[in-house]
Amino acid sequence: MKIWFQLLSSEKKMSAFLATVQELVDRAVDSGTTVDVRGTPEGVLGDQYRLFFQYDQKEVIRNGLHIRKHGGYDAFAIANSLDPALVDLREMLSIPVLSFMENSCFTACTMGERFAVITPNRKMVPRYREIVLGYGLRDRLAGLVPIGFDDVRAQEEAFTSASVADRVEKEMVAATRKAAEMGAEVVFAAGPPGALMAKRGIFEVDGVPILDTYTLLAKAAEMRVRMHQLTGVSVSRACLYAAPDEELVRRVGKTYDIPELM
Amino acid sequence: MKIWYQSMTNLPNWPGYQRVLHSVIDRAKEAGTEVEVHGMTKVGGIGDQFRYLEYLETAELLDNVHQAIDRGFDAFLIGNIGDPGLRAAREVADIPVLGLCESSMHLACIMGASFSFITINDKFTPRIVENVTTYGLEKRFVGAHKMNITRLHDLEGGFENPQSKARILSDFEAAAESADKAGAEVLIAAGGVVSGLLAHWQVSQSECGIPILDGITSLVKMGEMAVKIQSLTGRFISKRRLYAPPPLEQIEELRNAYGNYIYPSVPGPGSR
Repeated sequence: MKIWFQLLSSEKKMSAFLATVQELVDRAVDSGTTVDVRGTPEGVLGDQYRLFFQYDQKEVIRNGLHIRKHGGYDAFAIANSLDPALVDLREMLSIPVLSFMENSCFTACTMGERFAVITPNRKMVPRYREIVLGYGLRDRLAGLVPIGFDDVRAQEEAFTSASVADRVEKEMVAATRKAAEMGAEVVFAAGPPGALMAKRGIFEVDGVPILDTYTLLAKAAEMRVRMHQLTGVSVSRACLYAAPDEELVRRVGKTYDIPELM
Repeated sequence: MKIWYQSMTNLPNWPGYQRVLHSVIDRAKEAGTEVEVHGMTKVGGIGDQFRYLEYLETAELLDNVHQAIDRGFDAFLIGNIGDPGLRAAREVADIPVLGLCESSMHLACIMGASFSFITINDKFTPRIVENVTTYGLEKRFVGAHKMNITRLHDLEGGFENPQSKARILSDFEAAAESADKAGAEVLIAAGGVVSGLLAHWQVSQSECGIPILDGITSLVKMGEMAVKIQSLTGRFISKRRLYAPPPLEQIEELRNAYGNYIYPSVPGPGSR
C-alpha cells in the first residue's frame, strides 16, 4: 500500500526534520507499505498565526485534490498537528484521511485516563485546546504545556545541531514532568520535538509514555487502509463528511479555475 | 504476534456465532498474527446484560488475562461491548488490553461527527451510557437506541434461521432509524454477537444509509497496531496512575492477602 504523509514543514528549509520522520515511519511500517513523507515549499514560518497557517493549508488541499484526481495512494495522512484541511479532504477523498492530532488524542485516551499536549510555544496553547475540545475530549485533557519555540521553523535545528537537540530534550522532559503534575498519564508533542524524542529512543519520562506520534500515524494509516479494504467504509457520508456530487465539483472547478476539480 | 480474543459468550452454546466470529477475525488479522478465541467456560456466557452476571463472568476474564500473560500473548482483546474488566486488566497486564466498546467509540469519532449505539434491549442501555460517560465521549454521543431482544440467546437463531434473521434485522433497522433521527453519523452495534450477525449478513450500513462500524474487525486491527507500537516503543498502556499496579513496597503484603499470582509484572516474591 502507498500512504501520502503530508507535513507542513518546508521541504527545503526543514529537510533534516522531514528525513527523520521518514526514517521513523520506515522502521515501523509493514514490508509492503510505502510512506511518502512530504512537506510544503515554504511551510511553517509562523503557523501559530491563523492567517499564515491558511497559506500552508492551501498546499495540503492542492495535494489532496491531486491525489483525488490522479490516484496512486491508499491513504492521505495529515501529519501536521493543526488538522489542516481535515474535514475538507474527508469530504472530497474516497480513501482514508487521517490526522496527526485526532489519531494522537484518541490513542492517548486508550493508553491512559488523561493526556497532555506539549505545544511548540505559548501562542499555540489556545489553538490546540480548541482542537481537542472540538473532538469532544475536554474531560480527557489534563493540560497543554508550551515549550520555547516562538520561531517554529527553528525546530529544524533540533535535527541538525546536537546542542539544540539536547536543549529540546531537556525542555521535553521538563514539560512531561509538568504535564504529569497536571494529571497527565500520557503526553505527546504537537510537532517536531516528538520526532526528536523518538529518534533518541526516549518513549517515557517517569513512567509517562511520550507518544511516537509520526510512527503512530503511519501505523494507524496502515490499519485504516486495511479496514477500508475489508469493510468498504472509510468515513460516514451522513452529514459532516458528506461529499458534493460530481456535477457540483466540476462547476466549482470551472468557476474557481481549479484544474484538479475539472 | 499472538493475540487473545476474549468473548463473554459460552461459545459451544453459540455455534453460529462461534463460526462467524472465527471467520471475521481470520479475515481481519494479518498473515503473521495468531488470534486465539476464548469464551466463558466456567460460568454463564448468556446473560451479561445483568450486572451481577457480568460481574461473575469478569472474574473468569481476569483469570484469563493472567493465563494470557503466562502463555506469552502479545495483547488481550475484550470482545464485549461492556468492556468488562478493562481497567483491572490494564492494571494487571503489561501487554496492551483493548475493549470492544472503547475501540469502537474511538473509531466512530474518527468516522463521523456523532455516533449512536444500537443496544440489544433496554436493560443494556444504562451500561452503554455509563461507558460513554466514563470515556468522556458524551459530546459525540447521540443516544443508545434499543432493539427488543430480551433473551440474548435468541440472537443465535439469526445465524441460521431466516425468520429469526428477518425479525432481528427489522428490529435493528427500526433502532437505526431512530438513531438517524437523533443525528447519528455512525452506528455501533452494542454487542459482539450483533456485530457478528451483521458481518454474517454482510450488512455494513443501515437502510437509511448510516455506516455500521465493524467492531470486531476494528478491535483486532487496533490490537495489532497496539502490539506493534509496544514493540517499537516498549510501552503501550501508561502505568502512571489509573493503570498503575501496586508499588513494590506493598506487593508482598498484597500477595500474602490475595494470592501469589496477582500482578505478575510487578517484581518481588511471587512474581513470574
